[in-house]
Amino acid sequence: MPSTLDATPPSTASATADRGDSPARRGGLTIADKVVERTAGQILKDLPGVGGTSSGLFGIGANSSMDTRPSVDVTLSGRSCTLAVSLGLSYPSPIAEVTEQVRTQLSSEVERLTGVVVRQVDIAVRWLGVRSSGSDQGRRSLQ
Amino acid sequence: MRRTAAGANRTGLIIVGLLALLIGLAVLAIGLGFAASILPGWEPGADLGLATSVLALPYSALVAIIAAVILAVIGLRWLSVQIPRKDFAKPFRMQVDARKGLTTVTAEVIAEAVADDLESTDGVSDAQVILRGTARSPELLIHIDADERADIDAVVAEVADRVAGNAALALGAPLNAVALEVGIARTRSRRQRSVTL
Repeated sequence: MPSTLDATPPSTASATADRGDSPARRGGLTIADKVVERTAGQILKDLPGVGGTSSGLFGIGANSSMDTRPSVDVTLSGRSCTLAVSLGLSYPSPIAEVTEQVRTQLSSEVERLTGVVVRQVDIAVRWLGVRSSGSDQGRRSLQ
Repeated sequence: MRRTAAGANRTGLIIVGLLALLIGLAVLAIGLGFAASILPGWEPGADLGLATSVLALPYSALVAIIAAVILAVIGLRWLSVQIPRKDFAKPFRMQVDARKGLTTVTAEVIAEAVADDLESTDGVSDAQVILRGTARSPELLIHIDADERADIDAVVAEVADRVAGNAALALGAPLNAVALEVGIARTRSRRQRSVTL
């Protein structure tokens, strides 16, 4: 569901209101959830030590690497949103600390770029590794 | 490294199985008329008194079917418990503040990373890892196949220091226990084709 925002910067809002030229009259800015998703994904991709998994055909040929954009699912609610992120991290690194940094950075950047307030960021760590290929290569099952 | 049902559980299963077998053989012997030679009156068409009157009650067949289904479900559940299982830990929640969002990572993901770490160790050709316990008190079960010409002491020291240290760093908690099982790989399962310096 798209989120509709007031496009007027706070500093000029009072001035335009005084002139009777309200933002609603000038037009609104509608941001689709896909835009927030793509924005969040790109922010995550640019973070060091964070990777994603490319979706293959019906899951076949899926590849995990640091060069892949992590997947993000956005749930918009009014002018705020909740993000559900699936990502991979480099190993070894303190998972709790790294994901906390990712959460903080992602929230602030998404808010700065889109104007949508991020309430929560749920992070699912799907793989850990420094290799560029998937993490299930050559793994044998336990006996 | 798989967890199996307790010995007492298996003993109980054997006892129940033997009892069922004996009852079945007895019924078969009565039905075929073999029991009459040993116990006079126990013939296929004999009046069993109370048992016959109970079976003649209305809905007795329905009650018997329901009882059989319940017993079958219990038996299947018991049977499924007998299958050896890996028993990974439940997904770990590692967020600092749940109000800002949750961080989840499964034990399999961490175990795979530890196994990758182990396989990058000199002298280790293959590794399998199971992570049990909780996020605050994790336990690692490790099986490695070491190269037959590897220095086992050095491999064990490497696992205890570097690999276990890396796992503790990732989990953010000291490992409560590390169990290491070492096998000897007589053939090299994977051949390294390149090296990064």
